[in-house]
Amino acid sequence: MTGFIKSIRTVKRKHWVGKALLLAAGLAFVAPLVITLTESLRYEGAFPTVKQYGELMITNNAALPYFWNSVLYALVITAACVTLSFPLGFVFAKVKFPGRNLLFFLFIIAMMLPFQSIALSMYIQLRDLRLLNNRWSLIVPQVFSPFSVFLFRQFIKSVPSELLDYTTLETSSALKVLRYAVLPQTRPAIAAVGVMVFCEAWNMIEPVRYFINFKQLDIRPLSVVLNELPAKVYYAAAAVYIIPIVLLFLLFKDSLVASMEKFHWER
Amino acid sequence: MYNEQRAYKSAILALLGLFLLTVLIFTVYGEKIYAMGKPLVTVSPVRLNGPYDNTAELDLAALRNDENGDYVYIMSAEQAYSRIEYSVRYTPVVVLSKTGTRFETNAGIASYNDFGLPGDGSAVLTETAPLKDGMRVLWNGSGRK
Repeated sequence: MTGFIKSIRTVKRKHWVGKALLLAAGLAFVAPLVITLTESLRYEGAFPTVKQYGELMITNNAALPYFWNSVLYALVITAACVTLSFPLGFVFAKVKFPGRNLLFFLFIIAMMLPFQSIALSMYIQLRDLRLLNNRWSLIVPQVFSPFSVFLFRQFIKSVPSELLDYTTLETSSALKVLRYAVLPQTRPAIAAVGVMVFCEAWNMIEPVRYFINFKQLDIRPLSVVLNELPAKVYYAAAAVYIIPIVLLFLLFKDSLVASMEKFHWER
Repeated sequence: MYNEQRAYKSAILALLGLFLLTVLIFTVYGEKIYAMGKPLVTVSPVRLNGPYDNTAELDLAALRNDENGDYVYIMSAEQAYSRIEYSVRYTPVVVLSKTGTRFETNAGIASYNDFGLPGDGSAVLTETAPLKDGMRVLWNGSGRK
């Protein structure tokens, strides 16, 4: 009996240690966000005050056009990427053709490549397509995302093949099969992939450094400009930059969690 | 449960919309709000007298909206870009108090020196402000027009 009580105590102690560790890790993750929001309420020693936001929005609002650049890039990239990746994921998941596995293997490899290693090839490609130094040079490279295709493939694999067979009896159009059979089953996945692609586009840095000459045409997103802002508006700008992502997460958190769980289960 | 979720999502969407609308309003009207109550003038026909002459002459006839203005904005965007490498679109503007048709610069403030405008203190640098629509760069960094 004593041994049993001891073992319960040990388990409880371990439980509390785990909780404490998790709490510490959680605080470490949240700290930058809290510091940013707190510091955004400080202005020339005064606290709390919204003067930093006043400075950012009114007195020196030159950073705001960059915010809209970010919005534009993130929306266009997300829409285009989801529109392209979804049917591709379907093809890899449900359509049988020779070389499918090899092609998918190549996709996986492309997913693993760091951006820096293919930046020069992309630069040459964009130069030949005459897309350098304009907004397309920031949009096009991010639209073709092997990771999104991979995620969609994993999600669509879970759609029952019987359902697709039944739908193909009704229509011969692949688009209609996608629209009426696959899409309703994978809505959370679309939301999840959309949010992930949006975040990636929102935080883009490398393509801006490689593909545009901002001294000729300043079309940079806020992600790149943020660290060049004066200290007196930096934290307010960072808070403004964070808010859309936080709200998007709150909006789609159920879909994100459900998709991740499903993805984990399917895997 | 379903209604609660809907209400939650609607609230978040409303917040997102409100946030974007606020940023949009300040993007479009921020400078106008800032300029409220501040006289704005166009100073295109200003002549800076030279690299070692800290005076600038202004053709008042070419000024707009300056009848009741107390300040004249002389901007130095290129000069600022070249001298202090201020890479963000924060365009420094030198604001001089108006003393008739002749405007003299002042080196009383450190950032003012960054603009390379030495002065004798006859005019007071009152503030800096972002570049306004309709204003032109007058100073090319060398002190010559």
